[in-house]
Amino acid sequence: METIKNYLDNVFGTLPKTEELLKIKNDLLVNMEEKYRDYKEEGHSENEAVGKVIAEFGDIDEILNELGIKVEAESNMIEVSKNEAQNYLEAKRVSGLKVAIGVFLIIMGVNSMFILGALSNFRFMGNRLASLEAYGIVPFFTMIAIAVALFILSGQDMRRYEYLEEGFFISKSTKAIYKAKEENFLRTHTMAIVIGVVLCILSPLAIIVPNIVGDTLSLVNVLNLPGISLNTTAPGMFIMLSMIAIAVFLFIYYGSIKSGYDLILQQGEYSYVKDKETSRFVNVFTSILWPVVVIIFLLLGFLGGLWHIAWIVFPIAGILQGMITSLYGAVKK
Amino acid sequence: MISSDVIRGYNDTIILYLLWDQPSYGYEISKLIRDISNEQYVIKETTLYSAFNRLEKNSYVESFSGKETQGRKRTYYRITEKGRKYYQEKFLEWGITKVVIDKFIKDFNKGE
Repeated sequence: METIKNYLDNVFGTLPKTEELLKIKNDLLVNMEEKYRDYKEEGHSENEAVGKVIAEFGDIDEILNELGIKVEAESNMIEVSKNEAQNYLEAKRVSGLKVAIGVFLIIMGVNSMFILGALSNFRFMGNRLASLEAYGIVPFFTMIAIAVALFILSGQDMRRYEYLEEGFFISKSTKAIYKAKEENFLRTHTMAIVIGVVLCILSPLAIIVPNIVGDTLSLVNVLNLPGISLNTTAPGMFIMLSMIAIAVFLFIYYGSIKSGYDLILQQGEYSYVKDKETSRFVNVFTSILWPVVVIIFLLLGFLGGLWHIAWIVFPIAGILQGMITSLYGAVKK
Repeated sequence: MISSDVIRGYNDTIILYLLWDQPSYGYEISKLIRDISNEQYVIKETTLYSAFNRLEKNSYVESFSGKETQGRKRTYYRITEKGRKYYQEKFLEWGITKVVIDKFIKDFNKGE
């Protein structure tokens, strides 16, 4: 008799616990137990009786089809446990941190060329340190190398979780836990974005203000160290790029955590009814767009000498990506 | 033993027939089907319950909670007026079906 109950528990185990299904399960159990008793009275052994009852059970899909319950889609999906969700979010955070540091380093690498270039006018004990300008290229490429290593590591971290992109099933209670955590996080997220935007908006002031107010008030001259004569726009450039580097770091790091929550909670870009074709388009588009943007940035800098303005390609690319992908999604519909 | 594919379109009719005189519940109906058909047709549990569900959705039967066996409640089913009309339609349909199918089924081994 236990066998029959266990059998039904197994059959209904993965199905949603709706009132309708629980009632049917109970009815089936009552019927099957009565049938089992009859078979035994007819003289069948316990094993035979259980075997016959289970053989005459049929196929649960028949009932599910009738009720219009689609379980195939769900049963093919992997269920994500609370632990796995936690691991994913942590991995996403760390991987986002690596990318954020990498991008930060690239911008600071560009920055180091400025500062070393500016220092080439630095006179120490009467000697001009002319060779420093040439050395500016060393930290630049070092930082790019470190950044590339970080990008690769970050990609490696997330490889284990690629299956989540294919869709998954998550229980309502787990979802509720992470919904609460996300709401908590969103305050930090908003704060980070606000700080980042403010930094971006204020950053040009680092160049504009000294130029308007005049060299007398520029940073270097305020410090007024004896024997130092710096290119006065260089410190302004350095401050502006540093502010942008911090802003970009904030955008990437907190954006990455946010997209982790979006995936686990199946919202936003990762909403349940995600259009496969659109997401493939977005992936392809993104993977082409960003390398091209980096090349444009480097060309503008190296060939055009436009380092002070070349960074603008990054926010432009970001806006462009948002526009084109949402436009694509809208046209598809 | 009849295959369930052949009989599929008539499970609902069989159940309505068995409910015609008095309400009944799952196991009693499946036992009656087995006995009346001389064990030629044993309805599967899931076939029976998907039929109950369909019949109830179409208001051909209504269900109510009935007397308990071994501490568990049984769900009983009762035929409705709509169910009786539907049964009448199926009766006429079967009359035609039988005649039509008969025209295509013969024993080729038996000779003229």
